[in-house]
Amino acid sequence: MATPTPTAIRDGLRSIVGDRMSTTPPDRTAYARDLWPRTQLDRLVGDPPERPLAVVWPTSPEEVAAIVRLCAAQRVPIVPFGAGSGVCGGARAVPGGIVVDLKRLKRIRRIDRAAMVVEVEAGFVGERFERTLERHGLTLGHFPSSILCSTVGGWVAARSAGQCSSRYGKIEDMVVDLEVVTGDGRIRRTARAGGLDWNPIFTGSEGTLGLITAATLRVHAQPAARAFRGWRMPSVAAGLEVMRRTMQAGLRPAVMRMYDSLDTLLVGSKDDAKGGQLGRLKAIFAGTGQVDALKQRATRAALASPRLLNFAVDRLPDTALLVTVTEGSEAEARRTDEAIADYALAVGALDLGEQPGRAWMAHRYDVSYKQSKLYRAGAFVDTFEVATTWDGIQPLYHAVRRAVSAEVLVMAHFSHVYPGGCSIYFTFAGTGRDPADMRRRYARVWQQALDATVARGAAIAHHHGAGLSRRSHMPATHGEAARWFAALKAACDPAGILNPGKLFAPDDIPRAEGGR
Amino acid sequence: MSAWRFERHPRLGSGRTDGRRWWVRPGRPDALPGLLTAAGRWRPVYGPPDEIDGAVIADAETLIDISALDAVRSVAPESGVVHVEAGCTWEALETTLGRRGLTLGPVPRWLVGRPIAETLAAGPPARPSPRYGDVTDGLLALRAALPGGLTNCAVSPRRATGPDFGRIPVGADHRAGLITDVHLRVWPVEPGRAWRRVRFAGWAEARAAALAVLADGIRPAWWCLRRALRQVSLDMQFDGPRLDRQAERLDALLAGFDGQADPPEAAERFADTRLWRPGAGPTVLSAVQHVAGPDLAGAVEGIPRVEVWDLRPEGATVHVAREAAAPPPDGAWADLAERVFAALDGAGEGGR
Repeated sequence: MATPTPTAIRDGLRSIVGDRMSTTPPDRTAYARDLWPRTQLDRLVGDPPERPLAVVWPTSPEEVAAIVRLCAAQRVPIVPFGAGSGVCGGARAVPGGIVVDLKRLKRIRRIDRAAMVVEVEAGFVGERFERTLERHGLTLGHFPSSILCSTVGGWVAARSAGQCSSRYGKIEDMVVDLEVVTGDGRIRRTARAGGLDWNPIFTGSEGTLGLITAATLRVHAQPAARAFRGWRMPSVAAGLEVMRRTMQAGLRPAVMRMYDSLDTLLVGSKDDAKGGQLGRLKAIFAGTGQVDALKQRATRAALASPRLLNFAVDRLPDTALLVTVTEGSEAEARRTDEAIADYALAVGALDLGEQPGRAWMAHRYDVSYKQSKLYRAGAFVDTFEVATTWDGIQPLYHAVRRAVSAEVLVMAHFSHVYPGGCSIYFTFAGTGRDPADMRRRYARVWQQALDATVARGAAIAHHHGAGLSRRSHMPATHGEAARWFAALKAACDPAGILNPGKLFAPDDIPRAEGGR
Repeated sequence: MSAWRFERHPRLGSGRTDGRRWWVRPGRPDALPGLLTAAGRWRPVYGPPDEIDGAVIADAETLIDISALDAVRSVAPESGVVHVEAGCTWEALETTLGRRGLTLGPVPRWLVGRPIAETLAAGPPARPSPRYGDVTDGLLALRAALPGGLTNCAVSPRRATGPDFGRIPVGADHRAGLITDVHLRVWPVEPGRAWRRVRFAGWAEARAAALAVLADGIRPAWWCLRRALRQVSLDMQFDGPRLDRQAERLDALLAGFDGQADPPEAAERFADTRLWRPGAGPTVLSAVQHVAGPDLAGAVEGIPRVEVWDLRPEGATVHVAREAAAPPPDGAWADLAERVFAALDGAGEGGR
């Protein structure tokens, strides 16, 4: 088949969506990437992401299906796009492909109070969705830090977790039914499915098996009461013990979040600061005055000696701040708070009262998205979340710290707590001689952190997805399961156009035998 | 006398054959990929060939007996995780865990005596436990053999990257590979238990009361709604910390509904017929299960013997003690699943 010309593709798209498409350079540049920090370094090195041929804004699943059929016929890659807040490159444009922005699929189709489910289109932005539910006395219970700039479809596609995942679960626990456009251009509903359980297959598939156009999600009544608390733990180990005992007793706190020594120092020193550690670092590099310039130079100089910094961090007192939020009926919120208090006091923790919990709640979405100034000023930051079972948490924490401490300053908090374990959310910051050196160092840090995680048998992510940043370690994580992915891909995306290259590198996908 | 005799197969190794098919019994999961490659149309079985229902294995060229893959490989009480080979039965596993003061949570009696691989391959087994969740909620990782090798799933409290590969073989009738071993969530055995039974005039009232319990954050360890004479009975079992306060809160909640409380012992006796206890026999209920929507009364209308499990606001698992019309699967999806199985070289031809 002859390669279609960009003009032919654009004409075809225009026949489906009319003027709701763009081929202008600003739009194509804006949609070439998500918030993967590595992109900043690529740009500084002069290696920016490839721009898509076009960006389209369909308004219905039927239009999405028509776009998929057109692209499948012409072998044009499609990258689905929500609000672009992904940090793993999952929505990075593919050469010769188009971007399908789903944000105009933004209707709530149904609120069923009897069944406590809501059917919502994929492009609905999270914060607006939650506010809409609140007007009905409901909540999804899904509050990712990115809630202001992420969509329901993105949550499902990337297997997102909200800050209250210990109570409400991750997004996969909320999915009742999905509407998906598969690579053959058919609109399918998973609730009527057969043969396989399709919800857990499309959830987390990052647009590689189908474009999620709507989801039916479980919702809950707004909590009638909340209780906040902060605890000064005598050690990280003691805090982990409290978290574990709480969850294994069948309790469901909304939030249990514990900061390691350095993170505790930073949070404790300025608990009203916006944006956490990343925000503070970004704020330093966003300033333009003379004082800011001095701060920037000092910070860069410090980051140039990560070994020394981490050595100092290792000698901080082993205390940890544990923040808890419990909610539900008044009785449940109180019952859970009191049970946590029993466990905390038993390990010698100090009750800090409500303030730490309330402060955390007030700034829970204070994430700074201004990356470029920091990177241009010669520093880089990123986050890296992993998860494992309780007996592996501390060894994993130390293993990752050890693996990257020669390259970057690293700190962490422990959150997303479940009966079986929890996640560790690392933040790292570094610098380099020049952009190319920074990019090499950044790549080494990721490689070393992922190697250390795989070596401990832990999960290489918790809720950011895989995209491009973790695909190198997907074969090691999943082993022969890559063959399942190949089979799913062959069945759901026979033309191979759906977000190709994401999750698994093409060379890591075994050849499927019988796919049509 | 058995028609099965021991022989040596050129590719499968030692086994037994009746002249038409082979029976092999691997002792290690890592032997399975090679077996699947050489086995032609295979079927997993549990036990010697003389004891297996002929209809089940009619088309198979090779019977792969995984009953020797029954080791409990490790128990991590701190993490609440057990790693067990999939030929182990639920009963054997729960017995082993019980010796260590651990439990899977309530084990429905019809899982007793059945191997983990068999029940998972047949579909996600329902379990009526708001506190401990469904059986698949506790499935932290699953490994399967494919002709090219073994899959690998990092043990994590939640799935993290990509589709939940560990769910692909669940309900796939071994057509997406042969389940070899799983990591399951286990819990400390709680020292105390309490039971409650309340009878209501109809399904709607019983459902409303049960959902109010959930909404209040009370999580029964087990519950069951069922028709009892002309009423609907809600039976519940509780465990966990602060049991007295849970019970107190529960009684206050249920007092707001027009129900009639029975002695707790009635619920305890009924629970004993539905949940496995050490020394208990197999199930007395032959049931089919299907998922109903929120209109519970409509879903069970006209069905004489019915039990409702896994009740959530959006629906429930309905167990009917007779052949009942479960909703047929969507043809287009079934076709897509067939394409997935076909794309799995070897497995498409084999495990079915």
